[in-house]
Amino acid sequence: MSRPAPSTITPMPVDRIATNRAIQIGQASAPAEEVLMENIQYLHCNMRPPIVRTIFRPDTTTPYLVAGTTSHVIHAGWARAPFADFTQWDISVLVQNTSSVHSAEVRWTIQSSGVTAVTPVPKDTAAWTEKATTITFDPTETIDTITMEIKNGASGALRVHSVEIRPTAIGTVAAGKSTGGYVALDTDEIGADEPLTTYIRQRMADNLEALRKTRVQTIVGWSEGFTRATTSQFSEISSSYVTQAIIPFQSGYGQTSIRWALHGRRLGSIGTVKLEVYQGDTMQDSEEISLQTTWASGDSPPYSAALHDYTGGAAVACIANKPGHIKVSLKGDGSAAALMFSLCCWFADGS
Amino acid sequence: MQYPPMGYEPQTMTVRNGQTAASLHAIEIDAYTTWLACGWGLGGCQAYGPALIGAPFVGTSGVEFEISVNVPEWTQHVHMGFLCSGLGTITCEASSDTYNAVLDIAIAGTGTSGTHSIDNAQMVWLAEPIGSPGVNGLNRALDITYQDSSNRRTFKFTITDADTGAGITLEVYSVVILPRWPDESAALP
Repeated sequence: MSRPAPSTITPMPVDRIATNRAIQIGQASAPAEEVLMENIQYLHCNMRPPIVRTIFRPDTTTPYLVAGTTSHVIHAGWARAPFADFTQWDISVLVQNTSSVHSAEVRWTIQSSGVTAVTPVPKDTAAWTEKATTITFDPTETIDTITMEIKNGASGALRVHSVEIRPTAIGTVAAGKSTGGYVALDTDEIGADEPLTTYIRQRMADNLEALRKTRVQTIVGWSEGFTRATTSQFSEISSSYVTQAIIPFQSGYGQTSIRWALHGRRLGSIGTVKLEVYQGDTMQDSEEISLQTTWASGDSPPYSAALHDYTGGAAVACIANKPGHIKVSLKGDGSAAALMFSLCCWFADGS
Repeated sequence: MQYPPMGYEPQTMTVRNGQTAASLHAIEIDAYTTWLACGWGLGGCQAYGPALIGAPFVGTSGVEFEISVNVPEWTQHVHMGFLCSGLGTITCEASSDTYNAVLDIAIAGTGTSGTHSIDNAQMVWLAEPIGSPGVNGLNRALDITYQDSSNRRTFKFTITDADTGAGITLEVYSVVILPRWPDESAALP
């Protein structure tokens, strides 16, 4: 028995599966049927869209976050849906540690489980050095928040420039049907150098459909400013909506719905975020989110009371296979601001 | 497939009978697999998405941004798109490319510095890739080491105002990193 988890994909020469012959022409390493299966299994293991891609800019001249203290402080948090068939996130962060004596660290926490992982940043780490960490998440959660805390060593400063988070590749393929609908195939079933059975052919096609529909890409995974209780990268006092961000996207085949989650708060009586989906000159759909105000009364990390997501409102519609953009607007009450600290948008599972 | 299936659309398996059914189905499955892996499907969207949003840089010169990205298999080039306004240049670099690419931005409103506004900003993309660039400063999609598995690459972009002292500035609101694949004339390795 062997359920392979290949690390590369093998282009299939046309003469191995040419029309008018059964695909039983073997080759030295594996029969063509097996290569066909291994390529699909490769996608199952490695098709892993990133969920977070953020470059930090706390002000107009500083392209990094700084750890102001030697204690862990939450600087960013991203809320979004996990992928069904993965269990870990690969976190890649570009950092600098100016201390020539002490190491510093970035700490990551999964809100639902409390699981943490630490990225050590050794002394004299030059700007910008990539550091990698892996953290386990709960794939059954509808929405989960990943927070990022940073702290200095006893001397020097830790600077965090950018982050990418994506699922960790699958290394061992389990038997049976996965939560995402993928059925692992075994070389014993198809490696006999014989034509594939109708069942296996249909299973392969169904597996590809399952991958296309469930490994949907992220439109945006941004966060910044959790430590700033009364200011933010996105802050608006005006009582009329003011555009804050325009986020380009490209919808894929069968993708007609965009899910979202954001952290924000209001300082006054009114604070609202509006998400509008435009494709061409037409606004397809929009959603307004009234922000909570409990932060001032003591909401504490990871600021779950500041989290708003599509399950409390609605997903926004889009047209499949078409470029577009999400326009993000904020409004306050005319004297006090509305603030936004994070925004993640991703396509709902395809059809 | 040995060649990227340009224009492929996902479909359910065709009902077939007879001796050739197995190979015809295999061709369909192979096309679907390659499409997913190549990027006209979800594979390509793995690397699509803004890296930079938020308040734009204003009145600064030569500010650099870097991000490490997981680039899908069979990526040959990477386009970068910038939602921006004003006057200046954006220099783009990839850790797998010997030379940089430079994008001149001229989206001015009224006055010498232009009128910066995210509502009036425009999306500007690097131009098509060049086979052998040989020099810095060309407007082209960046080269990626071509391989049959995904790999990590670091991308850097430097935002430079046309004339900071004179107030002629460039603001960048959003960045998109978009992988490109070879056309159908090039066999996959």
